Amino acid sequence: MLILSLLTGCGDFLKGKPQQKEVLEIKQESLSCLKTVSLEVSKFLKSESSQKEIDATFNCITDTLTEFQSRVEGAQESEAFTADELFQIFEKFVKDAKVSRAATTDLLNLKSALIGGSDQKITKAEISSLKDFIGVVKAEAKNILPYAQILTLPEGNKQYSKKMIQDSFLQLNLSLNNLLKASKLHRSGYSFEDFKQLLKNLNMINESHDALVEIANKMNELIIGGQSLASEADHTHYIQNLTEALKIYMYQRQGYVDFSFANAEGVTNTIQFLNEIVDFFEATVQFKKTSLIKVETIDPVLTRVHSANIFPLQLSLDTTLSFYKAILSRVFGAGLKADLRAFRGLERQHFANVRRELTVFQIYSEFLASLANDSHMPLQNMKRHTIAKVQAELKKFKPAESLALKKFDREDKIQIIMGVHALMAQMNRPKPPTYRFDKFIIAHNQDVWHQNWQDLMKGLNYMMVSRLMLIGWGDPQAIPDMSKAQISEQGIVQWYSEFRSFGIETKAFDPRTENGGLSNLKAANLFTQASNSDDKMNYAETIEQNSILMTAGSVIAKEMIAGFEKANCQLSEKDVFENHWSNEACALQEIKKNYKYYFLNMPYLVGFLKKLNDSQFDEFYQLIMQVARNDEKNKGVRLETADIRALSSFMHYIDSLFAVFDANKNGLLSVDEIRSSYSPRFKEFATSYAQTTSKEQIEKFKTTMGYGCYTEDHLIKESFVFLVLHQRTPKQSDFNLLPCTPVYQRELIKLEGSVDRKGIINTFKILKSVLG
Amino acid sequence: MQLFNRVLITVLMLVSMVSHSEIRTSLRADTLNFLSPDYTASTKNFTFVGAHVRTIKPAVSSKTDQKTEKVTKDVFNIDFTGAYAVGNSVLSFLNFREVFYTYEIDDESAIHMGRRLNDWSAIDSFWNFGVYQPQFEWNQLAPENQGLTGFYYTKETSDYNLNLFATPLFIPDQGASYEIKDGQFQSGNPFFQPPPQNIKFQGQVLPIDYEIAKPETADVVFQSQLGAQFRWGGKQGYFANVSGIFKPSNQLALAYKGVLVTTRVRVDVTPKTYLENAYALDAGYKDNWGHIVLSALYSKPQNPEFDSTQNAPNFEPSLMVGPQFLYKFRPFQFTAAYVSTSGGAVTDVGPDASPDRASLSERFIFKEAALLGVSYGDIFFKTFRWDSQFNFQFSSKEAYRKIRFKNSIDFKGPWALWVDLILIDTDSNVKTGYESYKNLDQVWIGASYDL
Repeated sequence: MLILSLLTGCGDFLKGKPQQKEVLEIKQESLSCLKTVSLEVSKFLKSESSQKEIDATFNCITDTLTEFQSRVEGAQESEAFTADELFQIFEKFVKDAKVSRAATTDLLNLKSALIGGSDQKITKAEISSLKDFIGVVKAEAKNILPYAQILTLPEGNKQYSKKMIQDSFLQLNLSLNNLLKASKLHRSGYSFEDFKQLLKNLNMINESHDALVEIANKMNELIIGGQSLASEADHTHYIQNLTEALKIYMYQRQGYVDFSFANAEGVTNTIQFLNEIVDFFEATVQFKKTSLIKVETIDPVLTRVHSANIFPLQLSLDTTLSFYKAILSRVFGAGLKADLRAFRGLERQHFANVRRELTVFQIYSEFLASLANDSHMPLQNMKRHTIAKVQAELKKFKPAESLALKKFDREDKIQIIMGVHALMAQMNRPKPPTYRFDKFIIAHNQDVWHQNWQDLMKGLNYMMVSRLMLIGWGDPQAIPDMSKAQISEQGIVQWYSEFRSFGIETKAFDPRTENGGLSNLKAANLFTQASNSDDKMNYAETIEQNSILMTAGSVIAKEMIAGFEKANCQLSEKDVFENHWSNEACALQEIKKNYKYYFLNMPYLVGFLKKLNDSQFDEFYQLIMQVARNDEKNKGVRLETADIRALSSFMHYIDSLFAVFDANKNGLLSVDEIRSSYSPRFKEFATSYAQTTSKEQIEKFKTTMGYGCYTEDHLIKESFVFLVLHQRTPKQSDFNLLPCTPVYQRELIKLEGSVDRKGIINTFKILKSVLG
Repeated sequence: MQLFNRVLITVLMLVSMVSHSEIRTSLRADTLNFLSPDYTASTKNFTFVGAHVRTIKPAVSSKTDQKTEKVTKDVFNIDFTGAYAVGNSVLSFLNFREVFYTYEIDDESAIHMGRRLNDWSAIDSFWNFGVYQPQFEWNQLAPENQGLTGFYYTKETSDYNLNLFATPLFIPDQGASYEIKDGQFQSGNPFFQPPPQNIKFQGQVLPIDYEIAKPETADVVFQSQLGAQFRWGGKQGYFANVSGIFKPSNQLALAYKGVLVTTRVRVDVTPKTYLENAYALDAGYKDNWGHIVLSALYSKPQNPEFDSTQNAPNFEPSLMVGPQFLYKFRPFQFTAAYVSTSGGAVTDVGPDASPDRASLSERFIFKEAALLGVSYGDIFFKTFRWDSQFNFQFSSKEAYRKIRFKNSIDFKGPWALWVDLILIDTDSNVKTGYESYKNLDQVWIGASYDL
């Protein structure tokens, strides 16, 4: 009873559950530092970490591993962790890292490569080895610290000096080698593919990086070329290749490569850059082991680069691949006789030839830099030199003394010196190729067009491009003697054929023209100042023809198209070059307004145009468009790019003839001046024209009495002069009666007057109909 | 272990038979009922059958009584209870409170060999702190003192008592039995309070698989203890008691280390004994009406050494001070007592330890207590004896309250009956060692039959 009473009275005693026992805890104070690791890495990559912070970060990682060793056990083996167990640990405790099962397997694979052991598990003893390795990484991280910001390959404008970049990658090379020595990587079969897979599975790279990763992958294959990296030396070699490639890329990222050649320093940097690329290729594991960089390893790199859309030019893949092969096979290979289909890849001769040409360019640019020591200045401050002064200095210049020759053997030296001399010879001509504002100068008074460093560099570029063309497609080849080199019809047709796709895709060639090689060859021989009127293009002709084509077809045509756009002459429809058609009337007004600017490289043409009144200008324009227009149905309506290019080109050809044959510089070609142009320049054309159009008259001339003192050649020559003067062939009435008498001899045809730039256009009409 | 127990019991029975002692053996049956509606285990009622073997001692001290002298000079003493829990063997227990053999050198001096109860300290004995003597803590709410096992030399005169103790053996507290299966503590024994079952790691609460590194028995048992006690005063009047002992602590130090086994956590628990020095001082006055005592007990543990990767307990020295008052007003006795402990904290130190989290190692279930008790005992009709004892123990600091109400009727041959009620309550917002037992309010009803 008492007990029952007690129970009733003490009801509160019976109620209430005990509180849940506190949970134990595995603390992670020592691991809390891990949270800051990514921040520290970011600081490190900006070179903002202190040595102390690096110590702290690596100590944290080491401590974490120590904790792992002492406080974590595998389920199957207490002293080891399988991939599956590691994955479960990551999934449970490092969720944020999102380490997949595949990534875990890949990490074990990397572990196996670095410190050895199975790739299926990591033992606690191996974790000790891993800690040792991390100790080495720490030491190297400290060495790399000052350069880390550069090693992230930031883009910039010479933010870091070349010396700094060089030192950075030198340190990277040293550090990677030290890490290599501390690891067992060289004894493992670990490949780039494995590493790529790891990064992918760790989500460190995603689809957006695919293009770059694939480029890196293919670049890696190019470096290795399927060779096995069996020894430590192989890996050291590979690291050298890798760091060199990154350094070169960093130069480019930092704006040290500038093909616009804005100043001498830029030229030096670019030459150095190209030389380093050559050195890189020649030093690759693949080349060292096989003396060849196989085309099978080059094409994939270019394919990936192409698909990443990082080429400056919009070219199709086929064109890209055939273009580089053509350049390498012809220009830096066996020249015209090279079989492009047999191209195996980069061989020693390619590297040697590229180096030779780079050095030719370098030595001549050294001359330019020494001549114009203000090349570092802005364009407007660059001093101009008379042509005479340039030529005088050139005579004193001794290419053989250039330090750039040091690394070459005797034979190469000779070839290079000859190459430089060939350039010098061009510049020493009475009418050397001169430029102003990127335009080729055509003028009687060429000697007053003083040259600054940039003009001379433009000249060097044209001379070098033409040189390479002659080396690649010349017969005989330009090496060793450029003075004998010339491009024949076969060569130029071949060149056009091999560059057709490139030209069309870069909008340089008209896709409607099958092969413009022959026309080019003829134009070079008829209209350049340097023409020797044969059926081949020599060095000087090639330089001038290229200069005219580029100046007229590219520089000026682009200016005019831009001018039309500015003047709102553009029509909505686009032509074959993907430029808008222009309203012709509007375009004509724009030409009238700005011809002085467009054609400033032809001052005598500008002078002639200045004298024309409005209707005369219209008449001149209409005449030249009769020759230049691609399709007559557009006459008076619209202009396309091809019309503008042709208009500009004919202007240059006309002025080129006046520059050569207008001896008295009066802007008119007199009978004698025309006559002087006949042979040898126009003789072949005139003969051919006469044989085609006036065969009957020639036969009649031969049999007609009283003309015995004149031969058929005389007839054609005089008829040519008549044709130029009167824009028609002579009729019977135009001939002098009985020019050949025993007493006196008269002119065969009555030739009087002269022809100006407008008058000569009709001759061009005829020329066009004959030459195409 | 069961075989060992059987052999031990057999030996004891044989010894008791050949000794001069009057050994009484009672067969007993108990039922245990948990009363709290918040006791959620599926089984609330347990049945025990067993025996209680004990030496019959005279009701009055017999130094001058020729009749009982023989009895006191009995050479063998025992107080042993064994019970088998029907259907739940993990609850079964053996409680050897005393088993010793006495050799009397002369009228005043004797040597005792074996496990023998002794009042080393009034505080320790009264409150069952277990500093000097190990505790039978099968039921934490009703602990019982057990004797230290070894060699005693005692000299008892009318003015003083001297007690010297030495032993190469050590037997720690006897706690509730437990079972571990696949790393998990089984819930078969409601008196066993398992350690935390979960662990926090990286913000996640994970189940624990316990693995207890059982120490070698020999390493635990073969440890020396030395103690001495001097008691001044006669049967009445002022008295004083001073004692000191150097021994392993009766509680074990538990170090632990969490080990991540893939995605589960294994906690390796390493029990270890540790040494301590204890000193006690009692002073008081006693008379026929009862006694009043003021006691102090100081213990200074030596912290055990563990591997630095483990979380190990750090034991503070403790000083317990408190008075006890007993007033006899036949047939009633009134008791009032109080104890307060300073120090005595157990905090874990180690890589995972937190100062605000209780240690796995336990030393004192409470540190402060006040007790008010009244007991009643009388013989009715010369045929049976009625004993009742009501104790109310509480603490304001630790916010617990415990009631024990024990009643027994002994028919003096051969039957005895008893009802024992234990109630416990805590304020859960205050930390106390009793919190885990909050829903173990219990009533025991039993009967025994003397053989």
